[in-house]
Amino acid sequence: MSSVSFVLARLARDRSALVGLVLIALLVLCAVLAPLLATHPDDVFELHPAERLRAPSGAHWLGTDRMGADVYSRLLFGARITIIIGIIAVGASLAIGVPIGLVAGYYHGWPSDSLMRVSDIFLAVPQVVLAIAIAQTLGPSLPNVILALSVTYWPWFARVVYAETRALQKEVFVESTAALGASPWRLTVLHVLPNIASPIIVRASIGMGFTILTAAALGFLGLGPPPPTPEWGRTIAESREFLPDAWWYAAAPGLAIFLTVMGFNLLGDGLRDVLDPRLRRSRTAQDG
Amino acid sequence: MATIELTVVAMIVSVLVGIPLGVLSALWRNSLLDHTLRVVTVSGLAIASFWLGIMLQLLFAMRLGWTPLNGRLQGFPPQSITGFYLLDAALTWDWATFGTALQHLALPAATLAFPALATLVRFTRAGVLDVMQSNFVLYERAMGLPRPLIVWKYILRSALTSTVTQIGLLFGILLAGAVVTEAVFDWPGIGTYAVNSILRSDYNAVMGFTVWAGAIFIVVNLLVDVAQTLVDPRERTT
Amino acid sequence: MAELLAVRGLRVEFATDRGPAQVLDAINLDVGPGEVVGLVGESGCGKTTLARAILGVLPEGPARIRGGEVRFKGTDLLREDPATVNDRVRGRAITFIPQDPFTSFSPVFSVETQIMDLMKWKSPRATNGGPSPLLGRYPAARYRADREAVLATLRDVQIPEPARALRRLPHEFSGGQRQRLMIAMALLPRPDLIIADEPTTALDVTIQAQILKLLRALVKERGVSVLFTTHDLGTAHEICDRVVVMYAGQEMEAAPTEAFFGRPAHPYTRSLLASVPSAGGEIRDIPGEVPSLVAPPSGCRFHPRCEYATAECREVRPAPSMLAGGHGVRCHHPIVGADA
Repeated sequence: MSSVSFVLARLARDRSALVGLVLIALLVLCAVLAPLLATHPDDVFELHPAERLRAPSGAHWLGTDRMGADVYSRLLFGARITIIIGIIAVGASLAIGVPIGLVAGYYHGWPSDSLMRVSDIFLAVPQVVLAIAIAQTLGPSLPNVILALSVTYWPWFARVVYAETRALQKEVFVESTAALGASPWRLTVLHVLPNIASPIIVRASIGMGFTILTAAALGFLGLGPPPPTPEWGRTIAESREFLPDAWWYAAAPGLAIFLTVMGFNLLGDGLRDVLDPRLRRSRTAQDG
Repeated sequence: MATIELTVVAMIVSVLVGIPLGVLSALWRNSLLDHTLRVVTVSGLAIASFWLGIMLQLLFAMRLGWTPLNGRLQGFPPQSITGFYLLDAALTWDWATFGTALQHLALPAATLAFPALATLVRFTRAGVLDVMQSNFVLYERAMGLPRPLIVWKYILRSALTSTVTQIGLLFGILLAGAVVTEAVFDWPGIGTYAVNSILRSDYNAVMGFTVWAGAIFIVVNLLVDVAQTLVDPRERTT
Repeated sequence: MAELLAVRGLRVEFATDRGPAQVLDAINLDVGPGEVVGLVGESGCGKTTLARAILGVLPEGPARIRGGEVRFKGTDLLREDPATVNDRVRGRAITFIPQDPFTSFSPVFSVETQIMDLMKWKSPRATNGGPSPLLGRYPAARYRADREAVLATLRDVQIPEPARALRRLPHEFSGGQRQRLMIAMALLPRPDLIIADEPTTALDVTIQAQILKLLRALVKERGVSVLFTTHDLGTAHEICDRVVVMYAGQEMEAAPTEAFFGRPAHPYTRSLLASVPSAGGEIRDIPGEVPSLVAPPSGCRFHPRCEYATAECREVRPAPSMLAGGHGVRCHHPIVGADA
């Protein structure tokens, strides 16, 4: 079990993970400081039809959209949406998936098996499709998107936790602690959880990336928060009819999504390399 | 069916391009090719499919005019034998239609294949790097077997055994991507059907689609298990 | 007698976490035609590295040849065109028997595929280095002849039912059988020299002697030389004509077997022989530890543990000197005229 400072030190040596961290920090900065960083903060709500579809210029760094609103400013506010969706959805998936995985892993017999069957079924259907179905049923809105994503992502956490718990059960120290009469609770909290923390963290970071992509896809299909919310996916959908002329309108939010997801993926990979050496492929050269 | 044709073509492209690139990436480790590929593959999983599709449309269809914007075909479809336009056109020697169908397939297949390709390159690279350390590779080198033989026959085969398991995963990625890609390109496939039924609140259709998708996934995983047995003979005798 | 293989002054360096390690320090080694030479030494003394350096298959990243020559039939393999060496020498004039038969076969191809692939390019009947890789065809007539040769050799190494055996996968054979297959594959190209890297270490003790005797019989029959590394003195005694002992990357003594075991001249050899547990005897260790090769001792690397060491031993590495009867030793104070 590595202490936090040790992990951070190792992470600091991984250049791509650092790049990921920087990208994520940038995202958070944009989201939190949006009102300050935006050149036209009111454009989230106000319309300036006279200025619609202007190319990038000194006044509008990334041009204007079909309503005349400043693309750059709306993008910054869109970052808030993205972060909110990501954190809450992944957090909720974690909160649902981890306990389920723990229970299924700890106990044996049909309750565990059926729990895992259920999660397998969820995993069999592509997440996008399921999320679309749920979002449509409930209606396009921010909370519903988050709900749809949480409900479709928890199986990944459950799977990982289940596998780790089962693996740990076979470890001697768990057996001996249990033999000493420790209660299941104590066992779980004090002994199992710290050991499964690493895969969960890795999964969460990679999950942020996936979730944000799926959220954008939902937004693109019109199932996300309704206008005038500057959600990135929806912005891309809006921009389609004005292509190829107003290319900045489509390119900017897509780039934003790309950098954000890239950031989480790089960080996730870096975390995996540091926290889970078993997953690292062997790098040792054959020696004589 | 349109969706399957799209998915299969995307699959073929990603395999035929991805695996050799992965091998080369491993052989020429830390070369320019390797670094470029690593950047591309990491990006591959971070790009939103629908955005990629739109950008490709922007560049190739709108600005350059090399491919049509969307749809599966313009004009009359070829005589229907298999339902796959490409195959049918080829079988009936209808090369004009074949060309058109191919043009229409180009962008959607590329968009769909991109994340799958990225994954394949990564996994193949890792697999090859791993196998290169094996004792049998050392033996073959020591006995002076020609390098291309060692790489493309022996190393690749061993590296592929782990890649085959990924193909099941890949199919899942492709299927998920198909839904969104079809929306972007107006591809008349089951993905569009599903999205439209959802948008029309046609719940029975949605349920039908979900069941269909799940079934396909299970079938593919079964096929992967079978393929696994074929590729790795050790599995057979145990 | 013209040497088949003459290694002179070979220096190999390995890059390690703690800095460059001088794994081989100006090694000299000779193998004559039709001679079985044993290369003995403790783990880590560099014998495997030497074997791999001769073959030219050192790990490409960390290993570096810093000097010396490897003369095989008059040509320096280190300075020869690598493609030629790969085509004409490796797998043809010099073949290899690896240490671990369990992992030295590809697990996914049948034995037949692997042996015939070898024959496709390395058969004595192949002219001009064989067909082009991957796309070249295997001429049918030669294929048949080669296959007959394979079956005959499999019978020589005592594999039962060779035709059926060929169709099997490597994991269906026992360790001993796999090593026999390896021996067969080493003999088929009709080499001049076989380099065997601890060929019996991975096998059961009961089978080791069998395999060794088989190997010796076959090579003597065919007049093939063998350079064979081992850390087991008993093995060397069994089948070798000459024995060379290495310590920490330097060769110490090279003598015909009888002289090596009967009249060892180098202090290290004597200690080594004395430390072998004998029936009813005590175990006598060599005091001290094997040195790190990143910062090896100067001069003769054994001097820190040698009871006869003097200042000269610390400063200058002894030059090779020749005692009677082809008995070579590198020591400033060889013990001559005394029995082991």
